[in-house]
Amino acid sequence: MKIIELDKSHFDAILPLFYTKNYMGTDFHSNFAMPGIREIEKVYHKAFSNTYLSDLSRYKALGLQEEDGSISGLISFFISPNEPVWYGTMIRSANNKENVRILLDAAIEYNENQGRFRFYTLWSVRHSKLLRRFAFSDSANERYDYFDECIIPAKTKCIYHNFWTILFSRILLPTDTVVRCTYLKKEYRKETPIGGNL
Amino acid sequence: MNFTHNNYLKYSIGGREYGYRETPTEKYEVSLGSIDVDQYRTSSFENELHRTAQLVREDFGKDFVLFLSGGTDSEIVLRNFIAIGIKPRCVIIKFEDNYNIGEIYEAREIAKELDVKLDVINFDVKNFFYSGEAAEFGEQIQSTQITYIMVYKHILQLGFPAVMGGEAGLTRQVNKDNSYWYYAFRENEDASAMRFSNKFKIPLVNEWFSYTPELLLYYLESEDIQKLVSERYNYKLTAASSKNRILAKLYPYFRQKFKKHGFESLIAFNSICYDDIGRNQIPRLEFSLDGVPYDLAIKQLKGEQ
Repeated sequence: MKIIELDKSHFDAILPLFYTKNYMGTDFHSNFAMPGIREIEKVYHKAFSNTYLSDLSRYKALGLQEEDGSISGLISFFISPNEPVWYGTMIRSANNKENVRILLDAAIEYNENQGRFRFYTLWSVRHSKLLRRFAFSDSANERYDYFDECIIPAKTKCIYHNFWTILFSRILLPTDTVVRCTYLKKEYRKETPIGGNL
Repeated sequence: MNFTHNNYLKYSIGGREYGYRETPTEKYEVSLGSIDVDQYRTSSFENELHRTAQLVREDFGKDFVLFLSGGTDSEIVLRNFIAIGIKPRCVIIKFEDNYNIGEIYEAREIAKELDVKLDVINFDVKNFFYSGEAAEFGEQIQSTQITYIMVYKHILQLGFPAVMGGEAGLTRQVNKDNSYWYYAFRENEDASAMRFSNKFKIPLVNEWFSYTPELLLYYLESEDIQKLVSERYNYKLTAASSKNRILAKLYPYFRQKFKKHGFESLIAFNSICYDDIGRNQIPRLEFSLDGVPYDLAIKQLKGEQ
């Protein structure tokens, strides 16, 4: 298997990844149901594809492609134009822990190559303590540290604009969540990236 | 130029009425003039809609275009022009790749039912952005919102006075310690319509549902709006998802439809446009409200403040 950058041609291949009962440990059928919409999975799949598979320069998705061409996992992120930061927005792997780690490593490598050594993610408070054990490879765990920036109680609006827009997609969530900042430790930063040009 | 009736709705930047931003820290302010008490006592929401159509007709003459979006607002506008005996020229912008095909369908159905001619303008919104044209146009009127810039470009090309839907938007301001509702009139979007009108000398009504102070006050004081803004835990952040239901009580003659904005498939594209178009514009680094707090709006409209 290999890591690839996902695009329009993977529209159908990623669809099975959206058919899971739980997402982030939450049953979204009972929490996110919208009147008149039967297959919420298709709504999410379409919204994801419109965002991450449509050649937009700041919305990227990497996939884990198997030998037979199927996609067994994906990770998506937003690359901020405002500061050298990326926002991890989605990771799907059909509960395969190993694949999650491979995908996260790939996203970290992709962004480090562009001089981005810090990223934000949104997690359910209930699962946030287990997160690193589940999603981080030994290498990522060693090189990256984190702090929790803020907790957003269930069904409240995050008051910070970028988090609200990028991580919440402007949607009130049904569980308490935490915005986590994960950063490359100083001792692993070899060179300070150049942040100016003309 | 009348942006609203007798220009009762005003904005200023750094104290300059209907002005442009010159520095990042200048204050943006919106204010509302007061109603005619007798008019308000004897009229109604529905009457004010007819009156608005009449006032716009008197201001614009008979040659103007109505931008039909397929949504509720512009449908109501059309119905009210028809109610006073006018069938305006209607246009809709159709995106390449059928991004807004649902809205095109709705607009065609409305036009068919009301027996008006609908011109469909095909438009490649992605090319408009990636060619740099949107940024260039946006800079002239200080707007970074591609949907607005796109409509202005077409109004300019058509060369006629224009009318758009223009809902009376309500938004909840959520702060660390409190939250409150406000009547939204945004510098980047709504106010840019006035800058566009002034710059190109083309009349444009972008605030139909706020066109007269009486119409706005009927809406703001309606039972459902009062309920919306007073219930803290209704989990609403804007009035958007409630709007059609509320309007249906005040004006029950439009086609029932699910509230959409036509840009559902382009949300991520829209956010990139927003950032990139604004790259060379003066950023706004002050945090005055993009509108008027609900309670203050009521007071201003009633002439109490």
